[in-house]
Amino acid sequence: MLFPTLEFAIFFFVVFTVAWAIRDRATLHKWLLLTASYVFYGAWDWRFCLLLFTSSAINYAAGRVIESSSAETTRKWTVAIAAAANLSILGFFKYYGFFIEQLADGLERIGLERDLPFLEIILPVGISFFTFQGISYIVDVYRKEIHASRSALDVFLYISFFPQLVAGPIVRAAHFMPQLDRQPQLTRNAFSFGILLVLLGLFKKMVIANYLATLLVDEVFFDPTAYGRIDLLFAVYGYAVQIYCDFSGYSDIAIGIAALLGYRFNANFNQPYRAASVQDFWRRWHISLSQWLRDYLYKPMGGSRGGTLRTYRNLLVTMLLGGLWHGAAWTFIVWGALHGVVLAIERALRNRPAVQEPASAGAAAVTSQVRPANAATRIFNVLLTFHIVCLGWIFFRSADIDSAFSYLSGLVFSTEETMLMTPFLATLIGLSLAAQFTPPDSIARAAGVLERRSMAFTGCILILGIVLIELVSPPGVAPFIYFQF
Amino acid sequence: MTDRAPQQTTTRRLWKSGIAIMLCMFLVLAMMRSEAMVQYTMDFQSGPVTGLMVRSAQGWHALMERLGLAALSQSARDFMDDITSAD
Repeated sequence: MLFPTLEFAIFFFVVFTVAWAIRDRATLHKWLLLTASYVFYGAWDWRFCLLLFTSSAINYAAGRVIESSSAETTRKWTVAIAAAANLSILGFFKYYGFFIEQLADGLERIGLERDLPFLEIILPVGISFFTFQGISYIVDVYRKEIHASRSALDVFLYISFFPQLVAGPIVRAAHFMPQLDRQPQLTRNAFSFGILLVLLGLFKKMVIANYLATLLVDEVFFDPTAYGRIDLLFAVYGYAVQIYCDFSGYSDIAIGIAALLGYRFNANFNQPYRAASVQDFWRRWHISLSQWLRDYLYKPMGGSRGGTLRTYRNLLVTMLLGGLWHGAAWTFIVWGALHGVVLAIERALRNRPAVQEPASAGAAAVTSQVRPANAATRIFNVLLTFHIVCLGWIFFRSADIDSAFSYLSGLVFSTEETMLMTPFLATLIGLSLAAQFTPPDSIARAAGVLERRSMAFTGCILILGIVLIELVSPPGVAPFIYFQF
Repeated sequence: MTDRAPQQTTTRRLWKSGIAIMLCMFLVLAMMRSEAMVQYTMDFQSGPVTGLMVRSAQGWHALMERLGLAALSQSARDFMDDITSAD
């Protein structure tokens, strides 16, 4: 069940109507949301519900054991076993085929060819997201940052709540579970904010992402050798815009519908293409994943505490695993490695001692303070960062490594004519990138304005927005890119 | 308790408004997607209700055509096609 479909609209209408009707009965209200979440998830394949149930049950049980045990060894073993169980489920469904394939290739190369047990495994939608939520829950309980919930219903609902279930944001228990203890309330601001976010998300996905995918990106990435330099260059810019609009559009709708049900999620994107460094980019792109990687991978490995080389190693390992999280393919590993290497280089440059004017003859003072960038430097840094990110997107989007290198080679050497670029696509890409430089709180401010108008006006905005999107969007609904992760 | 009462009233008012807005939205979508509704009902397996659903959808689509709404949607799509394919 995709967000931008009539099926989902009807499903949400029923959930919204019943959930607010029974808001006074807390347990029944939670049961309704849990049932709705399983119906939503089961719409893809009902067997996935068993997996979601198993994952939730493991994390609930582990949380209770960790909380009730005073022996550090028991707590440590429980969190380790539960994390391993979560990762085993993820590993089996997502990486089994990839690793068996690599093993078979490796054995063949050294003359030890064997028949290995290849399996046709369907990747359950959203498995990477709910696995990471489960791990964050048990680790937070272990670190005593939150209490393990006594209520299995709360834990199950936290892991499976349908707005964020299949493509995030990765919600933290410390942020979401206290909201389950309060009776949900619908405020005028949350209502306006929710409606605007849903509209914005639908526009990003249905109009911008879908046009770029169907008219430019899919065709160029399918066979990069058939296109000229202009098409190749704009297709990667187009993909940068498409993946942003696709994924942040999903996050906007998820945050919006959660707000309409009385729950608050943190923002998952903050105008990432205005970042002036790759580090800055990761503070703005898929914020819930970068924070997860920082708190549950980078910092436990030692973060930046163990000396320069160890910091670089930790950055590289974190980004490599971050890349692998997106999918079992070398393209994602190269994408992660590229980001890891650039993050390490940026760190080295930031920490480089800068020679100052000598305070006295023969004295050279050193400082590692960061110098403020002027406007020209900042513009250069933003452009450089954007192009590094685009370089990464070529690997991320390509079917395999060879295709990615064909793409890169075509960007320099291709002599083909420009065939796909049109003024419409150039305008779409240009305006979408320009929107990255609007004030970051535009939606919150628009919600504030809408809050002061009548409900009829708010309703007209929603309906006019839906009509506009319906009229201008290309036919058909493509799945969200992040569903495959 | 006194603070919660106005909030409860606001929640109830917004809930009812939300339902009304969504119902209006469904009506507008049904007006705009009348042709797709005919296709959608035809995809159902044949059964006692299917014939009735198809006939209702066809009747609704015919009404939208008479009102000019189906043509409006098509004009908007043609307009977008012109824009997207312009060199």
